[in-house]
Amino acid sequence: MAIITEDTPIGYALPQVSRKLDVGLNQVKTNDGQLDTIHTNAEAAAREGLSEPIAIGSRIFGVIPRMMMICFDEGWVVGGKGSVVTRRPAGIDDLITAKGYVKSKTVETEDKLRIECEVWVETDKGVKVMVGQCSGLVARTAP
Amino acid sequence: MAKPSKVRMAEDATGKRTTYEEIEVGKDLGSFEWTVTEADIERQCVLDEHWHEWFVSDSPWGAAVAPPQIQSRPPRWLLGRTYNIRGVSYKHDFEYLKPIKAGQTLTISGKISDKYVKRNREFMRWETFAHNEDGELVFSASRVQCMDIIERNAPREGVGVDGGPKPERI
Repeated sequence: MAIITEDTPIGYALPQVSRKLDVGLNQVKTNDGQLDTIHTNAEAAAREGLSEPIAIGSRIFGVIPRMMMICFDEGWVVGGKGSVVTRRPAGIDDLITAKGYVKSKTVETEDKLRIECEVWVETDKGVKVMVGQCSGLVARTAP
Repeated sequence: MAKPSKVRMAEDATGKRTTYEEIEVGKDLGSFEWTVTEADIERQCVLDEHWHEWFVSDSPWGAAVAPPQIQSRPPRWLLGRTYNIRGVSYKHDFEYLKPIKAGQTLTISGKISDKYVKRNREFMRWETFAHNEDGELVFSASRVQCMDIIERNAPREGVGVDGGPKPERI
């Protein structure tokens, strides 16, 4: 059951979603094992100019759709939209949390509203590693 | 711990790295078919610890559907078929238009849409589209990759471990 509706006020804080990353989640699997990548291997990371392996971007991003799904359910699976930027790397075993708030509402169709949200992911050290906007659709009652 | 390199990589295990000059804005990246499996959906749920009854049983769309973020992988596969760019993901714009079900075959296509230099680093943008068997657009994505973390005036002469092309699996 989506928690965001057309009556949700601007500024409403979205439910936070946290997870602990780990090395296993940053592995890139092949049919017979895994690759040595900048996400798991110190030498691979160093050759790209990194001081240590960094988390895969899509693993960091992954907490945002979880948060948006809680907010919009069907209106995220079909109608979900977003634009996110990676500002800083996250460590491969960081605790990350998706946060956000309702920023605006626009009429999408006669019976749908688009609810735009500011979203970001921060580490347990308080570093914002990913920022952006995401939106989902909710039912709109006739004006 | 190895010291971070001061030079950019010229090649890696997957071949010669693509240079900024070789990126052709407007280039058609071709297409490939991706048949989404139940295993793909389960793997995405595991990777993101994202479990929902709609991903494993019935949903409002008549069958289990994939977590929408499963769509973040095919754009990288598409790019890797034409260019060898490691770098790091910088920007990701996306739109989910239709649910994705197990057994569905999507045609993934795209093109290079931009390249630019910012803070002495090279960036490139590409668009990706996924169409279903009926020709309907299922999702679209626009991604920007920072081609190298190391600044662009560093020589490109090293040999990297990790490459751009990745296994086409979730």
